[in-house]
Amino acid sequence: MMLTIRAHLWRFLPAFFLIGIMWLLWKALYIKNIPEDQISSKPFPSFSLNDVRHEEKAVTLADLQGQVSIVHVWASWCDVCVREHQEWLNIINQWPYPLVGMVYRDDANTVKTILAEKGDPFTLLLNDRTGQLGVDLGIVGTPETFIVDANGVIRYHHLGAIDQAYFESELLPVLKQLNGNDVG
Amino acid sequence: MRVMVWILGLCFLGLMSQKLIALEEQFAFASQTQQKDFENICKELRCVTCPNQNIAESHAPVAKAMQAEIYQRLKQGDSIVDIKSYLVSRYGDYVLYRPVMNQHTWALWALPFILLAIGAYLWFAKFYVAARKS
Repeated sequence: MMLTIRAHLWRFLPAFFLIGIMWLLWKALYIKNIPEDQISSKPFPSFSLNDVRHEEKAVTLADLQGQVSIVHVWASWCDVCVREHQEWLNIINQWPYPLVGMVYRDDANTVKTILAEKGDPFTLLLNDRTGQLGVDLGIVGTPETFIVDANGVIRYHHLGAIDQAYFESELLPVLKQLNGNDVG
Repeated sequence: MRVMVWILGLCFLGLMSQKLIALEEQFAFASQTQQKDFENICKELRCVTCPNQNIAESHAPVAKAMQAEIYQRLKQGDSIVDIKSYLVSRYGDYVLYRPVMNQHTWALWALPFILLAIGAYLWFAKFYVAARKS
């Protein structure tokens, strides 16, 4: 009896093998390629970059510390970012948190033209012309948004565009928590 | 037909050489060894924006920034291991085309040998049964 079962069991080997392959495929498709915690909870990298609008002004990590900031990575060559710009104008109009822009591998004049046309919601606007700070931050594309606490530690990271509804449901609670519910 | 094959072959060669020239022109090194190291690292790292390309072939801004970072670090005298571990610290193991062996990837490395062992066992078992029957 046992021998018969064993003999039949081998017939199912291809089926077990197929299930194994399907499981690996499912795992590869549904598990995020880049885990969020690769970036979140890490200290914001140190840097020294110029502000796009005031090229003589060097901005460093010390300028971010002492307050909770939103850091938004964008570029004028990124259509999604340019479309998202109006959302940030609305968000900052309603929720005046410090918004630090980081222009990624871009031409400063084109950025200034966009700001003149659409408006400028940024407290600081870093010019990451070479993309070095972007690599230090581990960004995979534009736009990306970070929340950095008063000690310069990244507490939240989002890939892709943000609208006001998403900001209010996802980012605002983090900002309120980090600010001890007394700002905004 | 033969002419078509020649034309396609020449186009392919042209594209390949253009890619190599582009990489060499932008990032020139004093020594051949560093130049080779740079090309090899760029071929072994995944473009995080467009995952099916390495950063040597990708035109994505993030890949260009990664190339520039590798170039600067090689010129500063950083080793290949240092550069790779820096990029892994930013992007995770995902950035490496050749995965490292650790607790998450051991199955990837061991599976071919396990399958080979199963195959060998099945083959020998069948051979043994056939030999006993005869």
